[in-house]
Amino acid sequence: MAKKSGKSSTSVINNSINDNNQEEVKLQAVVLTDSYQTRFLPLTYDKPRCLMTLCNKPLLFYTLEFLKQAKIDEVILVCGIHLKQIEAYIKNEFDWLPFKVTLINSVESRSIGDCIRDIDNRGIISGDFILVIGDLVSNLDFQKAYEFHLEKKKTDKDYISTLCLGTCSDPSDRLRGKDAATFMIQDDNSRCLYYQELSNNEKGATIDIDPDLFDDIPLNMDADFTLRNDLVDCHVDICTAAVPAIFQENFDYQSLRSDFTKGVLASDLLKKHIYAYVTEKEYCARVESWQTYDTVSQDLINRTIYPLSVENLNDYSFEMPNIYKDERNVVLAQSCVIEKNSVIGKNTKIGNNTVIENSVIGENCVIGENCVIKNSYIWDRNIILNDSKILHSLVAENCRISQTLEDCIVKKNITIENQSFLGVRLLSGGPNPKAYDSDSEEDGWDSDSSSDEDYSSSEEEEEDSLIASSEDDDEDSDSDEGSDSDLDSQTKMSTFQKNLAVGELQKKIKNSTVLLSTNANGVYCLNEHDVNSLQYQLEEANLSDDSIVSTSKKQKQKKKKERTMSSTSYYTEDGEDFDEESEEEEEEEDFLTEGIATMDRALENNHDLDTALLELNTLRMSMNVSYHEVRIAICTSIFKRIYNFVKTQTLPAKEATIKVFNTWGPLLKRVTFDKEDFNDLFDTIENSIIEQPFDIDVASNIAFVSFNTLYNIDMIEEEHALIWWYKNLNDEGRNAEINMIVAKWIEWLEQDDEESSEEEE
Amino acid sequence: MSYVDTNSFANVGNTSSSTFKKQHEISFEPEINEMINNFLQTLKTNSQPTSRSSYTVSLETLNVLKKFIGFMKFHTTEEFMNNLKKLDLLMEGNIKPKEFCCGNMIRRVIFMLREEINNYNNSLKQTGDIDEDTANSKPVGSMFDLLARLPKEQPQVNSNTKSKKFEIRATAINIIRELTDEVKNIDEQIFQIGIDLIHDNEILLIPTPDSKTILNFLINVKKDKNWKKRNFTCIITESYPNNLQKAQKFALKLSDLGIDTIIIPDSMVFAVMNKIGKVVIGCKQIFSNGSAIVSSTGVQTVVQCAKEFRVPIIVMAGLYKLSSISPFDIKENYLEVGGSKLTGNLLPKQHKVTGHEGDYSRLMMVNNINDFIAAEFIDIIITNTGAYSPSFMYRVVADNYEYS
Repeated sequence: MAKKSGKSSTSVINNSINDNNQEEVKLQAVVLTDSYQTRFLPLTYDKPRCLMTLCNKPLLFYTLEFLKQAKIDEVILVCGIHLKQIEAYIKNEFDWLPFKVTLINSVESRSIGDCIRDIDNRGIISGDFILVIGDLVSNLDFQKAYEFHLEKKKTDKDYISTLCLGTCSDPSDRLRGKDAATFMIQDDNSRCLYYQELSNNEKGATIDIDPDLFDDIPLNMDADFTLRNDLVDCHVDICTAAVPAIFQENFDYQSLRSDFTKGVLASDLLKKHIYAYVTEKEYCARVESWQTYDTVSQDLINRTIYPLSVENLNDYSFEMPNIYKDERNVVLAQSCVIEKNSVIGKNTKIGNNTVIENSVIGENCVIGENCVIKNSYIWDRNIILNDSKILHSLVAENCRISQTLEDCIVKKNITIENQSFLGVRLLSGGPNPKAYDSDSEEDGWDSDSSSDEDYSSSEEEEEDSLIASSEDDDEDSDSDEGSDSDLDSQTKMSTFQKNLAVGELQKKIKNSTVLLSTNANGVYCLNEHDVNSLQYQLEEANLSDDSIVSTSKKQKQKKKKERTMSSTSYYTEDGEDFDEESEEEEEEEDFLTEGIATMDRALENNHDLDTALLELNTLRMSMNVSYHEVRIAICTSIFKRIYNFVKTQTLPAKEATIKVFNTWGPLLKRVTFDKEDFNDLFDTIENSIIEQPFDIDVASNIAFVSFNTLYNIDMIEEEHALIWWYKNLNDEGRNAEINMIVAKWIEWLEQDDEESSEEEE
Repeated sequence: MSYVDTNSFANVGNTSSSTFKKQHEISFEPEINEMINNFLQTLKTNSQPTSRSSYTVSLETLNVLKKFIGFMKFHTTEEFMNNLKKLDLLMEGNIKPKEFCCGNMIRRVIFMLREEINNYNNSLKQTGDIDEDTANSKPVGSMFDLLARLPKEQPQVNSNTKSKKFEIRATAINIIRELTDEVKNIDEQIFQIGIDLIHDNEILLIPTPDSKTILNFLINVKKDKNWKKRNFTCIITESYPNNLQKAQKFALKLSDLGIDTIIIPDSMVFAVMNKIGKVVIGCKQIFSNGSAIVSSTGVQTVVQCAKEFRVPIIVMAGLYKLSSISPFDIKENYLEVGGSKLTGNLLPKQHKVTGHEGDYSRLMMVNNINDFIAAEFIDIIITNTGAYSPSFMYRVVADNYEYS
């Protein structure tokens, strides 16, 4: 059982274990109620994602429904700060559950990895367990998957976990959500060999497969592999006890897939095997973004997830064109029209001549006369006044709405009177929402996309800070948030524009708005996909000046930092932007000072080349910077040393340079790999020379000699040098002095080249 | 119409639907609750509705009932009966999607118990062991009160009837055992009654190829020793989409036994109907007015077509499928709609992100699981106790069921 410690408490709700079957292995399920994502943000301020309603039932209900079928013995709900809400929900909703439910307070966890480590520390898990996230909707036949797991566990001693995956017909299926990924699965034993997440909207995305992956498969075996891009990853993992252990060992593992699964599969040391159970017929999906929310709702109403269906789960009545009604106290006016695919909750009143189609209406709502509600989700306790029109929108609880809403997401407790909104995420419904002019759709979506990005740090933190702010007067805090995000968006825009031509950006935005307006006629409403693709493009553009390797690294680094960022700095005026940039720079500088110091030490004590490289590499990895910084550190250090020699007049400039470069030049070679790197190296050397306070003559001399030495020790090739040189010639902005310095050497190089070619002839 | 005296039966139907609201109020001891909830849970989620058969459900119900009676604490016979009734309400109210056999079995048990009690009381009366005054002082239906441990008269009654004391728990368990045997032996009995209906060289149409009863009946007919040379042909509808697999297995089993078997698409029924001698239907539930619910779609068409061609329609079902419920609001209460995944499975996915080729906003996919057959289409219903006309079913129900 769970230990009780100072900050964490455990409460047992339901004691219903059969003591008879002690011999049977008890299967535990770990349900993570926090997603550590912020995709639903305006609505998940004070309510966890798993309590968001889907067809008038919280998402957690569907997850528990899945676990009921799965014949689980004990369910461990890992809660964050929303423990009370979840506890209350489970106590009120379920008189009886076929398993024991344990709630765990894990407030300090900031990621899935933290959660698993926390659970493991408490020693609750006794054997195999399944790991699910509290937003799962699935009719997966778990018994089959479990048998698969048992079989694999028996046959493979390196087995650690099974991923349950669904299939979809199309790589662009909306069910795949934002966490789409490619899996490589061995055909004969369905072992998963490779995992790579894909960014949905990237066209012509490529993946790299390391040939080492196939090393441990005997050559004489005819193993076939399938690379699948059509799998829906619903994050149902059947794990052995080795999984928490791996998380403990690798304390930097945060996310389940991109860190754990990928890490285990790519690791040469662990030699653990992960298997994939792919189900063809059953439905499994996670409600992890607005798109999937919409898709899963539609599927549930369309009875695609049968036997999970609205009338069976909610005790609703069902009529043929997929109309579901709670018969308890629903008042429908005689002339109202309920069209197909509609769900109406209890105690709801609908007025005369109102048309409802393709929509979900929650409990205790009042809908006036002559309203039109189409393709929308209206949660509990909303009041919709006469003659209003709600299309492709989502309205959270306790709102009061009049006029027209189109493509909107409305936060809870908002009153909208006499104002129409088109394509805006309503963060604020305060008295003067000036930022959201209904006629400028573009602006609206801009702020949307950027605000989305703003919130891409951990949900937890945000909720912390937001709960603090929501203690203020409601309306005030609302409008504050609105303007905050607006400011953010402006600063964001300006930084983007630095990196991207203005015209291009606008074009992209325009494209996306065109998509939005055409989409509005279609079935699906929440056009977030386009916004996100836009957002993604911008993100890419922002980082495009780095090489590919460093791009991915930077993104990772960024993520990490967002996680560790304090919640107080987050809502300061200018948002995260400057914070983050400055922090990033800081880290770079940190590395530089550290790196230069390391190099200095190596130079002075005449370290081994390998030792120096090892030290630098360690430093590089721990700071998470690219080779670019390493080169800067080395060059700076080298020229500093040369300068010292010259200044103390131990050696003349030329000899000093030759000496140092002969010894340490090879080091540069070890950190320089391709053409781009070489270009970068030349730039670095130049800049380093300029940084040292040489006289201009000496500097040119040193530059000449150093390039020459490097050329002599085969460190650099003239091809690279020439490419770099001619590239720079066109660049007018370059320092004339540097040009003079290097021009000499290039001249010599060309002469040399000609001579050698003449000689050859 | 064949509705006779339906008003008295109607109560049951109404109460069972109104129990949805009451479900939270009914509860027993924790162990019993646990067991019942487990049972309901397995019924609700474990099996796909198409793979669930009323045969297994009724056997399971009897098992649960046996345990329930074993666990139950009670003081008077009346309390015992009331507990059983409560269980009936709880089970029937909570099972979604609808499964009729649960309620049927419990009501059968209640009815048989009541008969036993009456017999016992009558025998007591005849021997004159009980004071007439106490029996008469209670209103009608108070026979059980005779056995109640009334504070004053208890010692008297006990001492007088000690040798013959009515053991309700044991009786109930005996009844359950009897019923289990009955359910298990139904196929044999139906065969005995139905065999003479199948003639040599007859062509039978079987539109419900998921029925265990029909399969066993046909096998038994083929294997019948008294009439070695009985040859007949079976035409089986394909039952797309829900019972497709079962239909094919069914056909293979028949042909393994040397019965000529033809599988036809559901839509071809009209074309073959003029050659068909009899339509044999297995069903899921028979109501007290003689109408039936069938566990595959398309049977309604078959039945209408058969009526057109004057082909006799035979329904075969065990007594456990007989229900005292009268079917009102058939569409809303009894017809189940399944998953739409099977009917539109060849269409491109409707949640594609890119491309707007398919407009699904006006397209609906429907997949009904059950079909309802009205009593006027059925010519004869063969049960394990005999063959009846549908208009006579109310009497069979009254003879076998508790319907208060």
